[in-house]
Amino acid sequence: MTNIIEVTDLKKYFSSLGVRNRESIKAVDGISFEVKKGEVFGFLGPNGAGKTTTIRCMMDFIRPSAGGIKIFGEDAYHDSVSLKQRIGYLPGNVQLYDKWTGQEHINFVESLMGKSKYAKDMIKRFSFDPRKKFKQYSSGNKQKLGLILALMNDPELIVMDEPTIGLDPLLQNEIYEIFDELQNKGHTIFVSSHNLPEVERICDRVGIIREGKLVAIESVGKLGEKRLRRIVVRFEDRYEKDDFKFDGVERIEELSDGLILTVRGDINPIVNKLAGYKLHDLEVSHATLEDVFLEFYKGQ
Amino acid sequence: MLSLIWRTIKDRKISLIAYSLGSAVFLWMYVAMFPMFAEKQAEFDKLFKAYPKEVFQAIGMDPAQFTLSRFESFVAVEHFSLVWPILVIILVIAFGGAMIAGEIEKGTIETILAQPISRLKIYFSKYMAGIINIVVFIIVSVFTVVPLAALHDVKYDLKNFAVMAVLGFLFALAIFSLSMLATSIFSEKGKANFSVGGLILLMYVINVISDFKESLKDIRYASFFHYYDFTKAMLDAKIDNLSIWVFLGVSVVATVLGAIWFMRRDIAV
Repeated sequence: MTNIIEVTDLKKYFSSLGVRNRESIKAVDGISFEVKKGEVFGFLGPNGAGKTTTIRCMMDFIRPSAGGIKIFGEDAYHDSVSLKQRIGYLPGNVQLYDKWTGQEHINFVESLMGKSKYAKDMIKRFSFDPRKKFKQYSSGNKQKLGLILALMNDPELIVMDEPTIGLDPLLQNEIYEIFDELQNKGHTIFVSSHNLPEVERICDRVGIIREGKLVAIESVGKLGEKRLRRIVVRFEDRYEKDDFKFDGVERIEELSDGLILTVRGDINPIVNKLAGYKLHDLEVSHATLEDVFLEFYKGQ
Repeated sequence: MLSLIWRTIKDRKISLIAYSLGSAVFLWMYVAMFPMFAEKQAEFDKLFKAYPKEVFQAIGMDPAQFTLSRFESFVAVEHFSLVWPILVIILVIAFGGAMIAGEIEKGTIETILAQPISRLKIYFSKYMAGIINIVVFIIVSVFTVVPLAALHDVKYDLKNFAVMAVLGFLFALAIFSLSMLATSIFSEKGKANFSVGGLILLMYVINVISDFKESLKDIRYASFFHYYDFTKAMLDAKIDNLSIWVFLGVSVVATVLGAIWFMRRDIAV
């Protein structure tokens, strides 16, 4: 399948004087990955990991210190003007012009990108009122306007930095449906997030980035296999801690009347073992994103 | 590109209208006052001649040329010596600072950079919008003299005001170009504004000091205010060639440097 995005040994260092030295901050430190046509690729990492820096290099807002980015086979720096005709971009924090109305923003983008066939439909779909000034919109409506501007020209590649931030669950689902529709039309989506359930819901593959380095690229299925769960169990009677030491149990912490187990993968062996005990309470929850990151980061 | 120019002008229209009308109102005041001053010309001329020459030097004017017998002389000293340049300086520095640094500060620059338009076109769209702003301000603030003079029956020479408009444009263009350079370098509007504002203030001080201290008279060549010879423009309808070359030269160099810097820099909001 054709590669839509090819990032090769991308490095981006920041320094106060613009000169690389020992004090330079390595925002992105030699990452490489490809995104294939029709794929939804998630870029997962905690704040400050280098997600936004990578996206800004892709959009030619900032220039790589080393390495290269090709989009649709063209150089993201030298061919950025023609590429942007084919890319829809949604920034992490949508900042538009306070005094312009939503419609004025749409008209402005149309004046540079050409008349949109989809803007009216999207306005209707999002129940968005384009007559208000940007400063009068709620954060959700600001995000809606950002999405309309990014998608109104039916771009072949959509690059989004935390697209569902500030949106209610209904609107989040609407976005996920739009992603599904775009993917069905063969469009490619690159989305950064620190929301693991969201990435699992919408992405085919995930790149996990930490401190500027790509620690893993996994299919979402593989990510599920590595999923951690946290089981808090409180016993009515005595229990043996050693009964719970087997494969898949990553960590055991003791409480006054029970245990906290961090479990990777299948939880059935734990459930079977617990069936032999009389329990006072049992709580099973998904591990936090931090736990998942730790899972990927250990040994890196 | 045209839409970007138009949007930039539209976004700054309130300040443009305010500054233009403010300057026109000042001019109206001087036009309205002039007949009264002209009636008592002899007394005022005697009074002004008694002023220490340093008073005139501080505003860059030759006391020998100052007379209330001419409206141009009166307006030159009252309006174009200080009030008008201050308005021009504030207007163009504020406009320039908002062009790029202001957009980075607010985060709106990403909206433009995400569109299929080159950085060079973005830069020159902003630059063109600034030039149009300057032209509008100068037309309103200088040529309002035509209806106002007719209203108050004041005699004037339009050619002198036209030459003053050209000199004012060149002066404003040079400051605006420096401002575009600063706005390309910095990511905060305040830093861009203060750097150029500070430089212009320094130039003013240099010009005043060079007038007062003979040993330092050559430093005046480093000041825009030396080349902003409003007396020559208003009284003789002339601009020195050196002034034209300096203002145009600074404008070209600052504009090119600003464009190169903007094209090469990282823009992270």
